[in-house]
Amino acid sequence: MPSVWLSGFESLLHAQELVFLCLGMVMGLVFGAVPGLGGPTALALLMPLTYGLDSIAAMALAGGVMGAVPMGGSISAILLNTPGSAPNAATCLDGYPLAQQGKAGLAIGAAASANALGGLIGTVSLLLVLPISKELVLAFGPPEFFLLAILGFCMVATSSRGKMLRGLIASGFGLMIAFIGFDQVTGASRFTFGIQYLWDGVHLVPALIGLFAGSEMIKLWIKGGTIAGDSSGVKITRMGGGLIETFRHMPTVIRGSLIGTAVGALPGVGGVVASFLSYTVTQQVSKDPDSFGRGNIQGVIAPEAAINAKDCSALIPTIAFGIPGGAEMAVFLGILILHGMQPGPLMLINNEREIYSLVWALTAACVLAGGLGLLCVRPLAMVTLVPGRVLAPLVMTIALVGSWAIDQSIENAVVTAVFAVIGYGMSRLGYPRLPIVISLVLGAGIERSFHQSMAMSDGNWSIFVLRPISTVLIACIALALLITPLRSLFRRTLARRPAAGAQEAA
Amino acid sequence: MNPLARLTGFWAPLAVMAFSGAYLVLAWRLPTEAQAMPVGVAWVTLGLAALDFLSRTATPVGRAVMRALNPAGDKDVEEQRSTAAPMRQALGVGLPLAFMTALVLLGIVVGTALFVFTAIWLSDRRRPLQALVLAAAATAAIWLLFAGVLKLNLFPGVLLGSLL
Repeated sequence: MPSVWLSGFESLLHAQELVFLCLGMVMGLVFGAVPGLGGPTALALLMPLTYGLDSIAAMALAGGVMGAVPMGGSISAILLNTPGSAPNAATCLDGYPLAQQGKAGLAIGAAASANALGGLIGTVSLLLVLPISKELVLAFGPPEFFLLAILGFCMVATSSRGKMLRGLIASGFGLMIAFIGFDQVTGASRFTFGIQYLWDGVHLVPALIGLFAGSEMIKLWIKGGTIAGDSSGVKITRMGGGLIETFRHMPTVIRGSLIGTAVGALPGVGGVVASFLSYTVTQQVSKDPDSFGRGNIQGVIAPEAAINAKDCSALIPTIAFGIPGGAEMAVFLGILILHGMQPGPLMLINNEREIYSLVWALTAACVLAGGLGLLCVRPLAMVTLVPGRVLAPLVMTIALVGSWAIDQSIENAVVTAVFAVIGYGMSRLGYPRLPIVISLVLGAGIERSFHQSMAMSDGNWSIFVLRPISTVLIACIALALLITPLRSLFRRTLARRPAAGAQEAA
Repeated sequence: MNPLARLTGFWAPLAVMAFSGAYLVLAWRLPTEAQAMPVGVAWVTLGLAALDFLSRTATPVGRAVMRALNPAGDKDVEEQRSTAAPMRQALGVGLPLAFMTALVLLGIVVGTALFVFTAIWLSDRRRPLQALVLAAAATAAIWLLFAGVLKLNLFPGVLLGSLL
């Protein structure tokens, strides 16, 4: 096995492959940093361009993009509170407050180093797990996928800073939107009102662009001023400090990377769940959970480590079973097929060299993109000093026109604008927006898993309870739902004690 | 909290309940297998929205629900309410919708120029020239990126497209 690893590494060490790797990294950073573009768009735009390349060069290009997108996304998440891609949304929770406190450099430095370490840990895990990947993925059947998705909803709602109920409502709202379009089981058209565009459902990328980029720009335009609030508040200093912070919080990095690796290996769950799960777990085990959401550096490190680790392990279901872990991997499947590779168990035998080249390209991109991102931070940070009244219309324009450009459908721009208003309204009324994203990503998968489970059990619901992994997942769901009420109860009990003590003393 | 502000606090759960209710009505017209998940999710959302509504009432049960499930309450909402001017908020929401309409009717080039100019000029009416220059620059950049580099045919708009 080590000889195959080395062969894959060696095949990358050619001028052409290295050039394409660097090109992919630059593209990944730019597409990752620009809110609303992200990895799937970058890969989709690159797909026709890779056709003329040999398969190793194409893997280098794709690996460069996929490895660098999270770093680019973290920069815009920290500086603009607008994640370049959905998984970076978790980084906003503490990255943006840090930027507002004048610690943008610290946050970006920590994000870059956590990204690199997460990528490395993810690669090591991938290299170890790839041979036994089949058993790992096969252990999860449709009932487990169904329950895992529900666990994802509960965890995201729990991490909504004391707004679990509203987080769950947002999840339900998102799922209702996700069910629009053709039903996968019966083929019936649902909630489309005769609009042909909606037959495929509400398109994910335009909706994401609206929810994040669009609604943030509405807020920025209304608020006025600069993104940083006060231009003197944004200081891109102490990036080295961010690196030190990452090494100081090594358990957070390792925990996040392992969570990312585990979640990434499960198809359909994706980076959003990985980053939020890592964030929530880090918050739960922290001695100071209240500081999360207000600029805790661990709130940046945990999701960033998970995102890159997830990108590596997401290759397992994509390559081994042809089941993409998310939108980015779905586009990547297209590149594999374009180059004559057939994703599935046989690919691990027939295209080992390409697979390991891709793994190494991804690793190199994860590590190098951190450094490249740090070099580009200063010019990118200047974005936060542009007046909001100027920046908001410009980003809104890129968001809507970029949304149209995905498949040159003007309906995409309509979806983006509508979701921008929905996102702003939710933010204004105190509802978290992030659960909607999870719902839109997992909506189709959760319904498919539900129907498959019902078919497997002849309509008997006990299938969700009687399988060992399902039982563990149900326990996790119950725990996730109980965390917020129990924490609230615990806090009130603690608050009452000093008062009772004071009364007794009196 | 003044009575109007308290009233607006109920809009959100009521809107979710109305949406879920309408969704349920539509879902029931679907074939049995196609409606299973939508109906289930709509019922759950309806129930959760009812709980949210209850949590906003000043009753003991409402307060208990708020403490248990939404302990953060409406602090951030209150902050936003106190800082944002209603007219500016209406414009902030209306502009993207107007831009969307302009894109559909007038196309990307004209729509972009109109939107960028209007949005910047409305923020600072003393500098129309700056708004004009930025609108022209943004339109040129959009054209260069999408038509020049990516070789896409920019959407001409329903109205202008039919004239061309």
